[in-house]
Amino acid sequence: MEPIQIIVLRSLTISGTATLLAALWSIPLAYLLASSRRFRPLVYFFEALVGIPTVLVGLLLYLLLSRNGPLGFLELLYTPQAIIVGEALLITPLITAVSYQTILTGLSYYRELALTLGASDKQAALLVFRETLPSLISSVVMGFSRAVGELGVALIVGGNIKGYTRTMTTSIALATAMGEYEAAVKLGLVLTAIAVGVSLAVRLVRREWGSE
Amino acid sequence: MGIRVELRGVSYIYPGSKSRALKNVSITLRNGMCYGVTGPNGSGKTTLLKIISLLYKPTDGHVLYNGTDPWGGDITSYRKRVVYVHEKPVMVRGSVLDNLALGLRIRGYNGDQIKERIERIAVKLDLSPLLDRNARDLSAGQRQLVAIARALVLDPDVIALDEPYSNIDFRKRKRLSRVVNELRGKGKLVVISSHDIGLLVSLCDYIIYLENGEIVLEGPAGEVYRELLSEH
Repeated sequence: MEPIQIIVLRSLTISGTATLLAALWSIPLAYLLASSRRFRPLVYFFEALVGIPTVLVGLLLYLLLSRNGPLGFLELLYTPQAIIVGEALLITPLITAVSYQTILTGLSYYRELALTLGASDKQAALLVFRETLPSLISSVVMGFSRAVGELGVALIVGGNIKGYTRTMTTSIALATAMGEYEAAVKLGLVLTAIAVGVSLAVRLVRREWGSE
Repeated sequence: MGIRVELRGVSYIYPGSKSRALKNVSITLRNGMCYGVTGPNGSGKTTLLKIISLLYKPTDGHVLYNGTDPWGGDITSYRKRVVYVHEKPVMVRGSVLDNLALGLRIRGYNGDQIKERIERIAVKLDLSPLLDRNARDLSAGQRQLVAIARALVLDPDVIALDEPYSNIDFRKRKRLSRVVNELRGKGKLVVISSHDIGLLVSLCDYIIYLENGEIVLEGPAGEVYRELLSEH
């Protein structure tokens, strides 16, 4: 068994990168959906995908990335990058759907305020972004929590390779299968501590920033 | 040059709705006057104020500022002449001072100008003791006063106040009424919506009474008041 701290660090790096990547496109997408009525029907699509099974995302990505798949030439299968892409896709609906609600509320409050104070559309958008930032961070953190705790993608497209793609969840699955319950429980506790710690940090940020 | 706002056959339908919130409203508002807008709940008071304030584009008809349709040109430059204050105002993160400075910062004023303007309005509305307080910790009445100050600090030509007295105590009401009179004296165009017809009569020159999105009664404040009393 690899040292726990190495596995934890690898998991945090992979899920952290996936979360940043997903936030990069999900928040602008949420703004687009919230600010234009034409795109609103797409929201239902993203909301429906929030609970998509992780194994299904893993399977679809596997078919895309496998040697005979359309993206096989990228040679990403069984790499940390494949897990990053998979987790980013997995949490995109979650971050988009939650950010959408935040931005929609923000638009109704702060956009009108900005416009009536003489702001341009760009200045109004910036004010909405600034005022909803604590809630947007919360939605990103929710995405991170889902990414770090998922198993399907990491197992199917990562392959649980020791020292390379082994994450906390795949390690727990492996340790359980091998009867190493103590190691599995230890990792489970670390995973829980991370989820609770992140949640507390978000609460603190929101309190300090005074979300309305 | 003073401002004249005309509404010509203005109707408004909220996105996703089928019924008209305002129906064929035509009226001319002139500077140096205070207009009171009243009527039952859902009669279209807020919609009318938002149309006048250029926050809503009429579904039908035109809004003209000194004869020009702002929606046909640079709407942002026209919006800088008018301010709308919401009945339940939103405060941005930060202190009262930050909130008062928001519009000035948006408009590119420098630090000294911002300070000078805020000090002046804070004295006028008795907000000086609140300047360093977290704006989101204020009471509803204090928020309303801060929102009004945040609007007035911009020195707009048109001020639309949506139920400005709803949460304000008696002493603050008197102070605010003095400010409204002062604005009118300075040649500003003030539009106030309220359910309190008595208050509007005491403050405004002209009253518009709405029902189901239509103007059913309008005229000099005293006349409208008498007519409404005789009807009910």
